Amino acid sequence: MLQEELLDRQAAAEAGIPLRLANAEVVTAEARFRGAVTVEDGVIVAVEEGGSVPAGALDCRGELLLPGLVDLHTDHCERHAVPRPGVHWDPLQAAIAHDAQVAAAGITTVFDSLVVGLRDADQTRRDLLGRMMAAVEKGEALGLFRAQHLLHLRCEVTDPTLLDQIAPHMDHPLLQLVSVMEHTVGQRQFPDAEKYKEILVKLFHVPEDKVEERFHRDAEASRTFAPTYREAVCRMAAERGIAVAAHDDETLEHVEEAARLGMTISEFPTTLLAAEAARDRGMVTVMGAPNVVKGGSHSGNLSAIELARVGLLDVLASDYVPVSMLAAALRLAELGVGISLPEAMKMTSLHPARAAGLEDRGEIAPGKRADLIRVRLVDGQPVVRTVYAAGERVA
Amino acid sequence: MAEQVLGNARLVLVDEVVHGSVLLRDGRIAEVNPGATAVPAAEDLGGDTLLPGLIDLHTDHFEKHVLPRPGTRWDMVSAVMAHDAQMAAGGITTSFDCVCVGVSIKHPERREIFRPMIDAVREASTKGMLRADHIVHLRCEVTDEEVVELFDAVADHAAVGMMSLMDHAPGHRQYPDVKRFRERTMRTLRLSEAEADAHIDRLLSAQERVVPQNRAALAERGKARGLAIASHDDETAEHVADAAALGISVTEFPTTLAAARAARDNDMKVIMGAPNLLRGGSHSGNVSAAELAAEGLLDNLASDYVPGSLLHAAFRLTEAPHGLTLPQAVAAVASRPAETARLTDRGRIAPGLRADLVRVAVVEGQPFVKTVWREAERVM
Repeated sequence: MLQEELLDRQAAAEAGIPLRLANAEVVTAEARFRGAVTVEDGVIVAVEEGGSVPAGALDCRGELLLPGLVDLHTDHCERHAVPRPGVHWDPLQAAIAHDAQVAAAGITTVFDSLVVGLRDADQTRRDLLGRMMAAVEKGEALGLFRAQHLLHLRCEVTDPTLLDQIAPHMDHPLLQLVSVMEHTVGQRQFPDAEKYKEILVKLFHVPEDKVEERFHRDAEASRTFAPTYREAVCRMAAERGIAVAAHDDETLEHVEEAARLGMTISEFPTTLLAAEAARDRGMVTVMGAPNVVKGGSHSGNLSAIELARVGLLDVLASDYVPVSMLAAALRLAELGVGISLPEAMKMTSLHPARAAGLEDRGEIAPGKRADLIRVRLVDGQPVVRTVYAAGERVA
Repeated sequence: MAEQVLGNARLVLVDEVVHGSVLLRDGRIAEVNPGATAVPAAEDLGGDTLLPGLIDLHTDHFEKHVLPRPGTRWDMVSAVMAHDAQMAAGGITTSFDCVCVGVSIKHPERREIFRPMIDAVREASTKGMLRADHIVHLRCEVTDEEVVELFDAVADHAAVGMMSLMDHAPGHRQYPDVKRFRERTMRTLRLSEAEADAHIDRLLSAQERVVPQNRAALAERGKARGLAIASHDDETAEHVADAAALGISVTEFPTTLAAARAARDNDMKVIMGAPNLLRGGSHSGNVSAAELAAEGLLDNLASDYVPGSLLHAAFRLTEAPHGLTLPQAVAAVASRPAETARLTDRGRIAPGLRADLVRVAVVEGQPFVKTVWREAERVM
C-alpha cells in the first residue's frame, strides 16, 4: 500500500511525468475492460487495453476505474449551512464540508442546488442564498475545493418575490443551471393533499391550522403570476445560455409548456406519461439516485427503476444523499433491466455533463478532463478509494 | 520496510511549532526532524501545517446519514462510509461515533437502529472500508426503563470503546426550566397540553424510580469493561460529585461554570462542543465553551453535530480572547482526548506513535484540510 502511495505521489509531483493508472477495470462510455489510463496536464491522453503494469505506473489491482461523477442536483450544501434548526453555520465552512462529502462519494463536478422562494423562511434563511453563492465562488477562487462546484438555482414560481430575488444572481459566473419548481397541492409532487399536508407539518414545520391557508395561497399564485414567472425565468436563462430544467412534471401539459419555453431537462417527472412526453420532445430526464437505491420515490411517485426498465432514464442525480449516485449506477447495472455498467455510468457522468453543456468531461476518453475515480467493491458495496479531479488526487 | 518522509511542514508538536519533516515507517512516526530534509523522495508539504490526526470523543453525525430525511432509513454500511468521509475531511482520524441506547419519546426509532449501527461500524472497519478509525460511543439514556438491558445487549461488542450517561428529564441539566421544556415538547412533538404533561410526569417518575439505579448499574458495567465513561449535561456540583462517586472520569457538556469547576475539583476531564465555541454559546442557552476556556477548564473539544467544527475550533482558540498557542489549542482536539479515552498510541506528533496526520493549509487565518493520513496511509 505504501509503495503504491509513493508512486502515486511521485507521478503527481513530478511535472511532466504522466500519471498512469494500470491494471484497472476501466469503464468507458462504450465498454468495460482491463486496461490503463494515462493522464498528462490534467487531461486523459491514452486509454489502452491490457492488464500489464509498466514501470512507474500505479497498479489498480483490477479495481474499477470510472469517470468522475457529475451531479446536477444536490440539496446537500444547504444542509451543512443549517446543521440544526435555527443554527446557521459559516457558509464557506459549510461549503467545504459539503465538498468533502461529494468528493468522497466520487462526484468531481457538482451543481450546488440552492432554493429561491422559500415562502415560509425567515430573513436569515433567505439571506443564505447570496451568502452561499458568495462562499462557493470564494472556495473556487481560492482553490479550496476537491470537486469543481457550479451553481443550480431552484426557482419556486409561487413566490411573489422570486424575480426580485434571482435578478441579482443571474449573472453569477458559476451559475450554469436553473430549474423551475411549482409546489402546489393536487399536482406534480403532491397530488395527494393529505400527504402534502403531512410533509408541510412534519418537514417544514407549518402549523397544522395554517395548512389550508397555505394551500389556498399557493393555488392563487399558481392561477395568477406563476405562469408569467415561469416564462420570465426561462427568458432570463436563455439570454445567458443557461440550461433550464422543469421540475416534478406530471402531465402532458406540464411537459408541453416546458418544451415550449425552451427547457431541455425534465427533473424528477412524477409519472411515466410525463417522462415519455419529455423523451418525445428531446428533453433529458433526471431522476434521484436515492429513488433507485431505496427502490422507489420517497413521495410515492414514479420509480426510477421502472423508468430505467423502459429506457426513459437519462440522468441520475444525488438529490439528498451524495453516496447514492454511485450506488444507484452500480445497482442499475446489476438489476437485469437491460442496462450495462457503461450505460449506467453514463447516467452519472456523460449524460449530465452534456445536459449542462460541459463538453470537456464525463467519460474516460482521450482529450477529456482526467476526472477519475478508483472504486473497490466490498460485498457489492462501492468503496471509493481514490478520486482525481483534472488529474490531481483530491480524495 | 515501507518508509516515507513528509517534509517542508510546520510541525505542531506538543509544546512548539517547528519547521521540519517526519519520517514514517510501518504506519508509525519513526522520526521528527527539524529543518530541511535531505531525502529526495520526500513529499513537499509546501510549508503547510502538519497536525496530529484529531480525536473526536463525541459525534452525533452518523445518525444523520442513517436517517437522511424523516422517514427515510439509509443502508447502514453506506451511511457509516458517508459519515466517515465527513469526519476524515474534518481532519479527524479517530472518531467516537455516538449511538443512542435507550430512547426519548422524540426518537422512538433509536430502539431499532442502535444495534445495526454498531454492527455497521464494525463491519465497515474490519473490511477496510473506512478512512478514519471508528470507535462506538454508547449514549445511554438513563430515564429509559430498559436502558441497562439494552446496554447489556451491545456492551461487549468489539466496536464499543466509550459510554456516557444522559438524563433528559426536565427540571435540571439541559432542561432546567420545566415550563420551557413543556412548551418545546408540545411544539416539536405536536402534543396536546395533557399529552405533554403525561410525558413529563412519566420522565419525572422514571427519574425517581429508575435513574439512580440505572446510573449506578451502567457505571459499574462500564468500569468492568474498562470503558471511558462520561456524565452528560452536568448542571450542579452534586451532579458532578455523584458522577465522581460512581467512578466516572469525564463530564461531557457541563451546563454551568459551577459544574465544570466541580469537575476540576474531582479530577474529572471536561468535554465541550466545538460548535458551542465557534458560535459563542450553547445552542440550548447553557454555559459557553469560551467561558470555560477563559477559566482554564476546557480540556477537550468534541465536534458534536458539525464534523468540520473541531479543527476550526482549535484554530479559534489561538485567537483573541482565548490566546492559546497552537500546540495548546491542538492538545484540546488530539492529545487530551486521547488521554481521556485512554488511547496511548496516538494524539501527538512524536516518535513511536501512530502516523495519523493532517495537512492543513491556513488561508486567511482559517484552516483547510488538504490531506489526511491514517497510519501513514493517505486516506483523504
